[in-house]
Amino acid sequence: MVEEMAFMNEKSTSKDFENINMVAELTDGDLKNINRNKELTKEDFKNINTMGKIAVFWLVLEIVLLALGG
Amino acid sequence: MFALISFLFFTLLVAFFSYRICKGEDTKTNDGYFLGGRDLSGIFIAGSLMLTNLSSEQIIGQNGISYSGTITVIAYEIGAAITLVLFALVFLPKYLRAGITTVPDFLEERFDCGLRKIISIVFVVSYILTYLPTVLYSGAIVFNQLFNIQEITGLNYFATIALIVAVIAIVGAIYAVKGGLKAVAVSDTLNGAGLLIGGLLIPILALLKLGHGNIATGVTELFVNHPEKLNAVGDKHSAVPFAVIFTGMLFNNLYYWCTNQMIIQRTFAAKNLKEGQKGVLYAGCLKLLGPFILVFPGVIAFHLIPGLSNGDLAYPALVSLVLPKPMVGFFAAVLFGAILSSFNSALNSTSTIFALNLYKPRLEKKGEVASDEKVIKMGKRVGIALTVVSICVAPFIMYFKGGLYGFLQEMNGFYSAPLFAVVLVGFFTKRATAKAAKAAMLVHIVFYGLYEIIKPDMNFLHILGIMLPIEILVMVWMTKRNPRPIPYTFKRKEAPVEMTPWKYRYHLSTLICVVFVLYYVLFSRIGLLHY
Repeated sequence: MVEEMAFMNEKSTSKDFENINMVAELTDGDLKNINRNKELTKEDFKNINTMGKIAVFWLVLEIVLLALGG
Repeated sequence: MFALISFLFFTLLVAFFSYRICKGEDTKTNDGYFLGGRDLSGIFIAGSLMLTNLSSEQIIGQNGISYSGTITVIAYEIGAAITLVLFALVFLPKYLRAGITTVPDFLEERFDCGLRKIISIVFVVSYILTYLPTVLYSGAIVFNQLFNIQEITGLNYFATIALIVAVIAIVGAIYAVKGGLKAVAVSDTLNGAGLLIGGLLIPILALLKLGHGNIATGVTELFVNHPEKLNAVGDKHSAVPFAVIFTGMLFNNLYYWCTNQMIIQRTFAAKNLKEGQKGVLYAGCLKLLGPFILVFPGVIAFHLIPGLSNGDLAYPALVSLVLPKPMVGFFAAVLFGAILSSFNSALNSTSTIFALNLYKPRLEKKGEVASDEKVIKMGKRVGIALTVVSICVAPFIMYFKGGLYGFLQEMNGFYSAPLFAVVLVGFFTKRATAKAAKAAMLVHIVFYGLYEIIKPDMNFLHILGIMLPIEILVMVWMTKRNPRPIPYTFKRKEAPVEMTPWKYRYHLSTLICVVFVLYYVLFSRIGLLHY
C-alpha cells in the first residue's frame, strides 16, 4: 500500500497539487462558509421552498384558466 | 380669452402654492433633493402616486375602450387598488427598513453591484426612449384635440404639437430640476385635487345631460339601454379577460406599483412608515374612484354620441358636449397638470437613478469624493439634458405612429416581469444568489423574445401569467443547487425613519378589498345587470 502511494506520488504533476494547494490557502473565514453550507438544513430552504410552491400554484392556475377558455 | 385667463390662473395657482410649501426646503443633500428630505406626509404621497400614474392618454384610451366595448378595463384601476394594499402591507415596510433611495440600491444590497448596474441602465434607457418623449407627445395630442390649440394659434399641426410639448416640458422641468422630489410631489397633489374635481365633473354633467336634468334618470338609462356595456366580467375576446385578473394582470400591476422607480420613489420619501402606509392606501381608495373618470364617461358617451368612428374620439367629444364654456380654462389647467406630473416624475426618477446609481459609483470607483453637491449638480444637468432631448424628439413620434412607439412599448415587457421576480425573491428569501437573479432575467429575455417573434394569439397578460412563475422557479432551482453561503440580512442596523405601522392599515385595506369585490359583483349579471 505504501509502495503504491509512493509510486502514485512520483507520477503526480504540479497540476495535481493545484487543488490541494488551493485548500491549503483557505482561510478560517472560507472554511466557516463551507461548513455553514454543509450544515444548511431544511429550515434554511423554507422560504425558497415556499416561494417555489407559490410559483407552481400560480403557474397551474394560469394553465387551468387558459384551458377553461381564458 | 376668458378660458386662457382661467387656465393661466389655475396653473399659476398650483405653482404659487407649490413654491410656498417647498420654500426653505433642503435641496442641498442627496436625501433632501432626491427624497424630499424623507419628509412627505400621506396626503402628498397619495396625490403624487395618483398623478404620476395618471396620464392623458389613459383618460382618452380607457374611455375609448369602454365606448367601443365594455367596462372590463376597470380592472386596471381597481386591480391597482389591490396591488397598493399589498404594497402598503408587505413591500413598503421592507423598502423603508432597508433605507434605500432607488430600487437598484436594493438590488445592489441584496445581490450585487452588477445587477444594480444592469437595472439602472435598463430604467434610464427605458424612461428616455419609451416614456419621457411619448408622455409629452400623447399629452400634446390630447390637449390639442380637447382645446383646439391649432385653431387658436393658427400654426400647422406639427408646430402646434411641438409648442405644447415644449411648454409642458419646460414647466415640468422647472418643478423637477429646481425643486427636486418634494416640489414634484406637492405640485402633483395640488393638480390631483383639481383632476379629481374636474374629472368627476364630466360624468356628472354627462349624466345630467343624458337624464335631461336628472342624474338618476341618466343612471337608469345606462342600466336599461345596452346594460351589457356595463359588464365588468370579460370573456377571452375582451380587452381584459376576467381570468387574467388573478394572474397576468396582478403581476403587471405588482411590477408597476411595487418596483417601478418612477412610481415608488415618493413612498421612499415618507416621513415614517405610518405616513407611507397612509399615502399608499389613500391612493388605493382614489384608484377605486378611477373608473368614474377613466371608464364610465366612455359608456355615457356611447349613449349621448353614438356612431363615432373611433373610440378615442369619445372623451374629447363628450367634454365638448357637456363642459360649460366658462369651465374650459379650469379643465385645461387640470389636464395640463396631469400631463405635467407624469413628465416631471419620470424626469426626477431618471435623474435620480443616473446620479445615484451610475454617476456616484463611477466617481467612487475612480477614487474621487462623491459629495452630495457634485451628485445633485449632475442630477440637475441630466434633468435639463433630458428635457431638451425630449422636446426635440417628442414631436417626431407622429411619423412613427404604430411603428416605433408600439415597438418601444413592447420592449418594456423585456424587463418588467423579471425585475418584479428578482425583487420578490430577494425580499422573501435569504439564500438566493445574484447568479440566480441574472439567470431568471436571461430566461425571460429568451422567452419574451420568442413571444415577440411568434406572436401567438393570446392576450399579453396570459404570457406574463406564465412567465413570471417560471422565472421564480428558475431562481428557486438555482438557489437550491447553489445557495448563498451566508443568509442575507439588512446592512443597516436601524431604519432611517420611524417604523411603527399605521393603526388603521388593516381597516382600510379590508375596505378596499370589499369595494373591489363589490365592483365585480354589482357590474355583472349576478348583480345589477339584467339582460
